[in-house]
Amino acid sequence: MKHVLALLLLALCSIGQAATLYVRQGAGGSNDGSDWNNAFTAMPTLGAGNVYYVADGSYTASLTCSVAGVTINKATIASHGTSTGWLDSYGDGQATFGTITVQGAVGGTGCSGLTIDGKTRNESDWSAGSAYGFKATDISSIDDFGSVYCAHGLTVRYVNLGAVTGTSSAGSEGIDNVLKGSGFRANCANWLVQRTFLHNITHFCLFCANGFDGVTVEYSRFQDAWGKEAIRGQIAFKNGVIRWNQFHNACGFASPDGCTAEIALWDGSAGNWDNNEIYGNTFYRSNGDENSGGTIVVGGNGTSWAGSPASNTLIYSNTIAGIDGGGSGGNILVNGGSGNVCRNNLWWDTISASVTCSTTSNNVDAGADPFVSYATGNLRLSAATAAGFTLSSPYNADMDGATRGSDGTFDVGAFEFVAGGGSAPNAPSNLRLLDVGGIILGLALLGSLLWRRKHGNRTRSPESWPAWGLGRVGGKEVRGLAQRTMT
Amino acid sequence: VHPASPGTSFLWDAPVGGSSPTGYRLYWGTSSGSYPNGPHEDAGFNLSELHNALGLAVDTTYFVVARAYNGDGESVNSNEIRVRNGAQV
Repeated sequence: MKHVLALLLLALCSIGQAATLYVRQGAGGSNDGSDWNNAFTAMPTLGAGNVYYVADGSYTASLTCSVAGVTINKATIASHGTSTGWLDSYGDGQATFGTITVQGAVGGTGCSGLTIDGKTRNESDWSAGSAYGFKATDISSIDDFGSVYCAHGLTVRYVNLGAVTGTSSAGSEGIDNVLKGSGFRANCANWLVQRTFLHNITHFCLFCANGFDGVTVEYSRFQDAWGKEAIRGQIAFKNGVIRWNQFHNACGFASPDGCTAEIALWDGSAGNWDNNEIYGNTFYRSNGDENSGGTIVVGGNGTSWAGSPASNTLIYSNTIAGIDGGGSGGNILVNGGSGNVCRNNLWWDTISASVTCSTTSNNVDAGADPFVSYATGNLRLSAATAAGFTLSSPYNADMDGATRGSDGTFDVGAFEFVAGGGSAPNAPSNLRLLDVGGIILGLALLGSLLWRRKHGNRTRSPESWPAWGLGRVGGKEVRGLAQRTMT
Repeated sequence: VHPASPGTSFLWDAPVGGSSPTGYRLYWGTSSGSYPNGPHEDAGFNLSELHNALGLAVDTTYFVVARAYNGDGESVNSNEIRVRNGAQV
């Protein structure tokens, strides 16, 4: 019993040691991180279990985590911890880092359970890099050929990872893989990559040298990566979920050099490719680049697509468009095994559109452009497709959140057709607040002119000014204007 | 919503090209790029007219976007503006 109490006490003490700390470039004060007045001016050595709020600014070129349970949040106007010393201007922009190094350890401890959460992005444009709360060149478990295990339980949200958007010269980006577990013992378990932008890199966007177990990638965008697969499963990739992501020129910059496939989960032994789900993603290529193997490949021993089977793979409702290549660039390949099901996938303008999978149905190679705007990469449907196979939750939603089949037809591809889709109006522009002062001045001048027309240049008293009738403009009541005028 | 919130009126330019809107909606939130509140809409509201107040709370910065819509759907977001205490900041 004494031992139990001692352990409990130890646990409580450990919990008590965790702290919430604040970081702001340029802060004054005591630089102890206790509040925004005394914020650290640079990222401190990370402490186990600590929560860090980071304000806008440019921070250490390389940030290292080697302890467990750390959370690094972008401070925003809505969420910034203490209000002591806080100004909204600290949280309306981006915080940038160089490389973030995540050191694991034998048994998956070390920097396990790290959360890096940028909190915000532009949900209407996932490629808007400056709108992500955090920007870093890359997140790496450890340098290549290092001897430290990959950290487990890594969560990355709302982070812009990669070189400068628009970099287009093959291999010139200077960044290898932007989210990786490298080193021969780097097995990466239980990663969550959510609402993150991975782009403009030389090799893989997401990669773990000794395999993934339990990675989920969702609502993220892969763009302008050169030469290698956007998501690479090597040695192992099992129990993974890849859903509702955008792959836009996601492997291969310079035509005709390309990649093996946007998603290639292969190059290992049997038993390491099971229980993966890949659904609701868009794969789009506008640069004429080529895939040598397919678009989605699961299983294979690294020298061919045979020899290492995958089982219980679900590949549903993906849209594949514009993929060129040597005869098989648009294909979905699931190698051998059992329980593999591939349904409701949609192709347009691809070099090939075939599926190798133990159970297939409702896969469609469109006979005409089915999209709202193929030229701009808007792959939402302009009309309903042939009926797809009705799937249950969570496979009955698209990346926009639309419930599939609610109109009686479960469309194929990554997006559910919304009635009339394609003819929604364009966005309004130049949103701004009403310049009340200008309008009041204008109406005052008008009133003055009317007064002069009626009464000449006589001086009038304020009491004789007309009631302005601001309550209606264009036949509509304008309560907002009236309220502002009174405040 | 603070009962003493100042009213705030919005203007925007109608979309160029594409289908005609039948109305506009405003969405807002307290983080840039995230607009969990709304929509605030007026189905008879067209083009560049004034928009009624949203009743935003005082001393809070809001991020606001507008979208056009018609029977076929809703546009993507307009530009985002920041509003605090009835003024654009």
